[in-house]
Amino acid sequence: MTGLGAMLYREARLRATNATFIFWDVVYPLGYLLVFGVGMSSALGGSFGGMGRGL
Amino acid sequence: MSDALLVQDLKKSFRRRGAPPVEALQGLSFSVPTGHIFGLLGPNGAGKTTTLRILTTLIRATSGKAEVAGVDVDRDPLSVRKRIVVVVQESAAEIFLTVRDNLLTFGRFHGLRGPELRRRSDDIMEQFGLTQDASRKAMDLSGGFRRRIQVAKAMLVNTPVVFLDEFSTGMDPILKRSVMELLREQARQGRTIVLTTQILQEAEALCDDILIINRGREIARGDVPTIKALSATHNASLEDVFVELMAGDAA
Repeated sequence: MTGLGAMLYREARLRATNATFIFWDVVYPLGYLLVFGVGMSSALGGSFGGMGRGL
Repeated sequence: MSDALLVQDLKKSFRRRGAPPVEALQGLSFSVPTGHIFGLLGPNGAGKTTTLRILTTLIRATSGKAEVAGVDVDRDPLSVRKRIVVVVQESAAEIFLTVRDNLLTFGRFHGLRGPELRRRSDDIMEQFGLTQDASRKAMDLSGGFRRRIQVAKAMLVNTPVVFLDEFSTGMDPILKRSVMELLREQARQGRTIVLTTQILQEAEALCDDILIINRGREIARGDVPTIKALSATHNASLEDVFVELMAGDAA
């Protein structure tokens, strides 16, 4: 548990002092989903609202 | 006095596709008593870093036995890691963290917490001249300062064995002198220090025991006077003896 606690502390301090980490944590995955999730879905004939219903 | 390090017939070969294997270590054996400062010396490619990497569980030996603080590095590498701290040649400071956070994070990984950790971090920063830069990120500091952070981290925790690979690279002479005094103090308190260096004056000033290796084999071993006595020249420095030994080994 010492290692896990230290890792969480490290990650928290990284985010508290570096705004760019928020970009990689939040904006980048959302952008990825937008391009490869919504984009692929519509390329295969689905629609945004229809995602998850099977192709 | 018990041995902090025990190495018996250690061999390591690196296989390469389409080429004969490189024999980095060819049956190295030595022991280091607890509380000693041990210098592992040799020219480039002698096998110093390979030995250190095996002892710090980063790679496995091809054959032979190695124990650190009484624990076999091959059988129980995790227990070994809890008993050691390593300063590697490459910069290992967390560049996105501040100097203070570097120390606080490292301390937490070694089980330190709360006011005790903060007090020790402040003391260590003071000793290493890092107090003024405590809130600066490591990425904004020079290479020498990042090196200070690495060595400061090693001094923050109380593991029984410390490995220092070229610890003084990039350090100014004033800091180097105070770090060397700090290492002597730590050894007096029972901590075992294992260091590699190319600066032989450093080894001469610091080490209780020295092992000189070349091409993975032992060339000479003993305390500084014993090694110096191997030279035919009167009052030879450790560097003179080292050069003589290497010339003799190459012949």
